[in-house]
Amino acid sequence: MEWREFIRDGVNVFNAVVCSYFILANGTYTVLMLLALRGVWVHVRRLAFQGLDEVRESAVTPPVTIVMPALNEQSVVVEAVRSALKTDYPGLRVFLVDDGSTDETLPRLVEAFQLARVDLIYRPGITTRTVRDFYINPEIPNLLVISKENGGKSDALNVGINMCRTPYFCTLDADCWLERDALLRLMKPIINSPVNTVASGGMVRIANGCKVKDGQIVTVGLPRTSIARFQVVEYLRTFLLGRTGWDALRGTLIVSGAFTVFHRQSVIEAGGFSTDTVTEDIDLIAQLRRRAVRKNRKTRMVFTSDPVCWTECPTTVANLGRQRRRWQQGLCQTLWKNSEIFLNWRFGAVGLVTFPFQLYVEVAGAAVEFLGYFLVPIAFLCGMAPLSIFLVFISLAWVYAGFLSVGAILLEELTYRRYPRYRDLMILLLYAFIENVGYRQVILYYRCQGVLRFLSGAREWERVAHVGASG
Amino acid sequence: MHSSAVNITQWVSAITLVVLTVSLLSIIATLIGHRRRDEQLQHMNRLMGHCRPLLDGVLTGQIEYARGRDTLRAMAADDRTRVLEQLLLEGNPKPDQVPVLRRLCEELGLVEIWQGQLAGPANSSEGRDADARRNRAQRRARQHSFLRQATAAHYLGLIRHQPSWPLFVRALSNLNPDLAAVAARSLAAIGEPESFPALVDQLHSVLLDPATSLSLRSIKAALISFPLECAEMLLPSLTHANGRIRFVAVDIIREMVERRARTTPGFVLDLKTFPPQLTKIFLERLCRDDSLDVRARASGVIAHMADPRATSALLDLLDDAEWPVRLHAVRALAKPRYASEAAVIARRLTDSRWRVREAAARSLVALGSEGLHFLFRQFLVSGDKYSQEQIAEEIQRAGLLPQLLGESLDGVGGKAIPAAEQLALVARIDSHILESLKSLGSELGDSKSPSTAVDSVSSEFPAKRS
Repeated sequence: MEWREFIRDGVNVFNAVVCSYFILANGTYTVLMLLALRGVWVHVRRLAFQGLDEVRESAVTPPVTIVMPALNEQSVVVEAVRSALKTDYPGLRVFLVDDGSTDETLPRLVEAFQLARVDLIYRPGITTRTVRDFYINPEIPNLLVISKENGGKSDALNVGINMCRTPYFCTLDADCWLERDALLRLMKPIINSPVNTVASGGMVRIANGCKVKDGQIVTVGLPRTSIARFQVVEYLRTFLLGRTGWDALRGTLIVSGAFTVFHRQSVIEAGGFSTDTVTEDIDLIAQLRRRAVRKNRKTRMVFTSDPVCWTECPTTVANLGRQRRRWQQGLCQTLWKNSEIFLNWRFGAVGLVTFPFQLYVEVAGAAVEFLGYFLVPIAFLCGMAPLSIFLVFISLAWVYAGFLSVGAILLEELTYRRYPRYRDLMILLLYAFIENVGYRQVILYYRCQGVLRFLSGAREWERVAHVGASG
Repeated sequence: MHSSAVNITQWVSAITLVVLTVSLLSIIATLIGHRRRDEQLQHMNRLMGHCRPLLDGVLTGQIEYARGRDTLRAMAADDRTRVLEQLLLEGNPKPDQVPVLRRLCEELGLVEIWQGQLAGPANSSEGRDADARRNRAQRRARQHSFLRQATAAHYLGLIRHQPSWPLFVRALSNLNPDLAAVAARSLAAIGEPESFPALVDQLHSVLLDPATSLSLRSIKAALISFPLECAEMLLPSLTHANGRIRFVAVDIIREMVERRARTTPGFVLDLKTFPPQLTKIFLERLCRDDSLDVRARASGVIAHMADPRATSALLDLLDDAEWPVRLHAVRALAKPRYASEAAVIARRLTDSRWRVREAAARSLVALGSEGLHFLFRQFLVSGDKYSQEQIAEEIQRAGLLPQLLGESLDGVGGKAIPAAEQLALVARIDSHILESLKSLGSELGDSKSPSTAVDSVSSEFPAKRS
């Protein structure tokens, strides 16, 4: 029968795609893991002679402004600002941009920091929505709260950039807590770099389960819920293995907007954070790369694993879904918008490796993996592929994913060792394996939804509510 | 078909088993590593618990030095090294403790080890000299990586080991940027004037050779840390044909001067602190340099000079055609000794560039009462909207409303109401505060003290409480 042949050919093609996806994804992840193992190991040993005291006291250390966008973050915003103000950095300024919150975000800030409304001059170098008011307390001269009309996170960040006078600014989410010396550590690669470092990203860790006191993490622990524990493993894998590996390849395309330092002038020249994607951080990196290539400028973007920002992760499946859909949708939008980078040798490793990897493995891979869960069993049920092949492939996929997660935990254990309790380590190792059954499929489902949202042309943000429950 | 399926299954199964085995081995390694590190940390804690009171006692002079040294000497060599290195890693030792710590490290043989490690397997040409090959300690150290070299350099820098400076100079030209940066930092910590020219040479390489891996900031930070007396050695850089070298050299001297000014009350650059040839080059060449960056940064140095020509040079820079030069000149004048120039600075409140206007407003605030007088007068009488906006911003930022109203009452007499109204006009003031401002007029006419009325209004505005 012709239709049977047709289906058989289709299944064979799909199987080939699945195999290539599997080999490419895991091959790249393995290379990244090996690079990360070396990179982090060397970096941790470098910390012995990093000389943070000299950075703190040096006259050439450039001042930095922390820009914190906030929308309806009444439960966490005061602690987050306190944490930012306690950051150990010379000439630090903190700008909180309230993006038209409808809850108690602004009144709570005004009350907590005894702010008074003032009328400062707003010079919009980057076009933004209307800025309403400015709030200061002359006793806390390095804090400025800006109230503006709602225009999204990018717009809020752009307002912060417009008000910023320092050569560098650090984006920080309002649900994050910085370690005291995180900014010094994050600026170290910029200070030591012989070329203009336009972006320097740091490590983001999960704060759920940790004890927070006066805006600082005082005890590190694991969250109680499984969904948050899975994310601890996931973040370790993403940041410690992925980001470090890409950095070693000089192929950084993604930095976390939750905690990254940017060179202000370069960002302004690139037009600031764009409002046409929902992951403004990835898009900005792509824009900065494109601009550097167009202007033939030598610039650098780095990721370092020792500056730490703690963040609250979603604790419900619904919130997790919103977050992951947005990440996937934003990735699709950014790759589509910056397709000029794809396989373009002028972008180096980013054009030839990172971009194709993100496109094939992170975007198309979501659909391939999702379809695989249906088509492979169908092929087996229709007698087109033997059950044994299906089972061993599934086993290999899960074992390999577990292996990568274990690699991340091993690296964490060999280097930073933020989870000192034996019990926590055992739990992390357990979750490294069980995340492949259930959690991985849920995430895959949301990633596919993100791709569909991109294809449908959706533009709006899906907000994740924060409850300030890290304690 | 069937046999190929079996083959694939076998292959994939084999790979799965291998990956599973590696994963399990990784888990075992993680768990064993965790336990081992726990033991190491416990051992270290025990050692530190035992040695810290002794070390603290020796460093503070409460325990006799010889006793402390002998106790440490009696320990196993590895433990002794670990304890002292841990002490150094925990943070910069206090300046008064450095000589004792240095002596301890010298007499316990750590300095020799660190020097050997630093001189180690350098990929610099100097590292291959015959002397080094003959030295057993150095030969052993060649086996170590740059990590060990840089760490050793860091320790030697922390204890300010002056005799090691030639080793740092050699490391400065190392191809590894980490090692070169630590060497530069250590040279800065030691502050040996003889090493300054080597750093200047390195600065020139960084600026002229784009392939140099050492960052400009690292080398600049090191040079700035040297005493101001070393500035004379930058003379060749100040007259260099390359504008960028001149700019960086001027900026380094500016930072050196600023640092000295911060720590010395009433500091001025006189013949004792600043050689005449430097003064001459700043006042005759650099303030008229072709490069605007050089002119701009020169103002920061000229502003500290005791020379009578300095003020006129600064005032010329204040009227420079390039706005960055005017900006830096305005900032440089923000010192109480230039209070008499407040009127000239106030002219820059109407500059075409907002950054200059902003700097002028801030400089006038920094000048104290004389500066504030001109700031407020400009606010009240100027018809320049941009200037008024800028002054209003500064008044609010610095919490100066009480002074503005007070000055208007005391000095200009009866100008408090116009001042308040002006502020209300330029800055968008909350309606209830505006009402209070309006009622100020009637209150001033009452028997109530004007200052009480001013206080009642200004309490609504953000103001410095201390």
